[in-house]
Amino acid sequence: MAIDKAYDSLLDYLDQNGIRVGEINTVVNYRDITEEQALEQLLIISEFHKKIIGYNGYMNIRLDNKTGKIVEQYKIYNKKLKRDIKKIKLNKPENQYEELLLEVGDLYLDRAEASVEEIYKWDYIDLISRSMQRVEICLGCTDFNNIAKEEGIVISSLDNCCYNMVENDGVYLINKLKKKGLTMNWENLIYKYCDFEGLEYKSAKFISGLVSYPYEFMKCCSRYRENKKDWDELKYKQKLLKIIERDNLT
Amino acid sequence: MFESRYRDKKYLSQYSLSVELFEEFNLKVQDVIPIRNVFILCTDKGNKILKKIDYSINDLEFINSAMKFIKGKFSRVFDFVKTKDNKIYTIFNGDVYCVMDLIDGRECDFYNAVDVSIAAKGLGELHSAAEGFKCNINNKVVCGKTIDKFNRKLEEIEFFKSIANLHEHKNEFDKVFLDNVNYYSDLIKKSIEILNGSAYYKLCSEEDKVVLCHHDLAYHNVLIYNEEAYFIDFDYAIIDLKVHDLCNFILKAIKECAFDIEKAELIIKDYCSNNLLDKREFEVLYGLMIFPEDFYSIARDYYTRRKEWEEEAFVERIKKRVLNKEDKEEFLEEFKKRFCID
Repeated sequence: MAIDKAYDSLLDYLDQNGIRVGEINTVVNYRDITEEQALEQLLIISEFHKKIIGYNGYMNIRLDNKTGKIVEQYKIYNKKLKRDIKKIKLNKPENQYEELLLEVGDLYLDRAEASVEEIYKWDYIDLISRSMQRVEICLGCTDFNNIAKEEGIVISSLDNCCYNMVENDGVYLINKLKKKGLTMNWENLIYKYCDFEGLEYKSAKFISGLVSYPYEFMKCCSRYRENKKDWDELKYKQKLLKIIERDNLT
Repeated sequence: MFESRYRDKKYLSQYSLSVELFEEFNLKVQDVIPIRNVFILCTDKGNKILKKIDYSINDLEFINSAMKFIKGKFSRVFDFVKTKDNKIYTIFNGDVYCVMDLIDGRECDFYNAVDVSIAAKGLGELHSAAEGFKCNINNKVVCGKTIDKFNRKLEEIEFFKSIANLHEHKNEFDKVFLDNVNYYSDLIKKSIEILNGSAYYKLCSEEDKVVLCHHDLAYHNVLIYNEEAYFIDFDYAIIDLKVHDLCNFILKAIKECAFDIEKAELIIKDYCSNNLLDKREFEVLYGLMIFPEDFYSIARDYYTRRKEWEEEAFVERIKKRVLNKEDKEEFLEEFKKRFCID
């Protein structure tokens, strides 16, 4: 079938470029990861990008294109949260979740809006154009269990592989490390990653903008708004509290 | 990783993929690949698209003459491959087939600001090239009929409402529909009122305001290649005000982005880099945008059993559409302010 052929074509392309798709033997415990290992991982990611860049698909069957999608999603989160907070202020909170949102929502919204503003300040549209012209491809999931260097680069799963700005793969890893509660010099990681990728200063600012976006908080608010999970208000409140606590730690 | 290619498998299974069919187009085919409701053919003369036509030969000829007209000024539309008899179609096993050259672009991504900008500029160019195209097929000339059409749709919505109200045991779709139908009926009325108070009919009589509209500007019908937009699949093309096409394009491009006014403003700016819109056209555009096509079409498809979707698919879709209500309201308010509509 066409999809199988397209997948085989991508595997062949990776194979020709020295990338194996299969099981990763290296076991990594996130709690023990050092800044040096994180840098090493960012280097592997950028090596992967250099090898896969320009892959144009089999026939007309292309990888999904996610270029620019994340920032659009963040803008939607911002707009909707702003409206939620306005409504709660107008009608008074209906439950404990809304009380908490009323207390901390503006703070998070400011952070979220500042993050998107920062992204646009640094020639974001130009970064998108560069990514499209170079046909940049992201792995989508860049944690230690999905990409590693053994004899060569090994990828465990290509499920999230897509056309996107290479900056996003760095953002994914840094966010993952932050979420695990690790403390590192994030700025150093960002600048070194841009060095590995040969990216300009504005890319570092773009990555900083994305990394500072309070994604977990905004996602939780979106789930509550759209009633996506089978959770009650208390559960949503607990989730928010956990996110706030983790934010304070990092 | 790769998007699904088999959404239309039922339709695709009705195709004849016979060597004799390909020979009619002088093609030696090495491989066929399904994509949406057509097949890509890998042939000795390059990659082509095979399409089974489910509309009349007259309609196909209309598209062909429109493409010829547009090609005079704008080359980024598709070309038909001629048969041995120098025709644009062949009849095989009772079905009509045509073959087109494959445009080597990628589908436009409406989340991507650069793609949207390229598409909007391209649409401005396409409309410029399509200005002055005439035809005498009655159902293809929509210009001047929109207000009547909206009135008819309002009647239909009221009819669907009476059907839903008749149901003794209302299902989930009925409930969501009935909870929202008055709101959307009012929007249709408002849309009609604004169009009636605008220069709609006057614009329809002005040659430079009427063009061949693509009328199906979904992301997959705009291909991006070398930073230029190519337009394919003119199956639904009509002759109407250019703001009709622009309205559909804007709404399609911004609806997944919570009706982002900035994006809409950029689209208009890019469109106007290759075309012109006057104040009266903005007013008509505003009136057209108010019409709740999303709500109307899901209700029509459900109550007239137009689509073979599962019940859950209908429910999911109508719920998603009504969720956008506030976003669209805010967008329209802001649009009115920014484009100085009285």
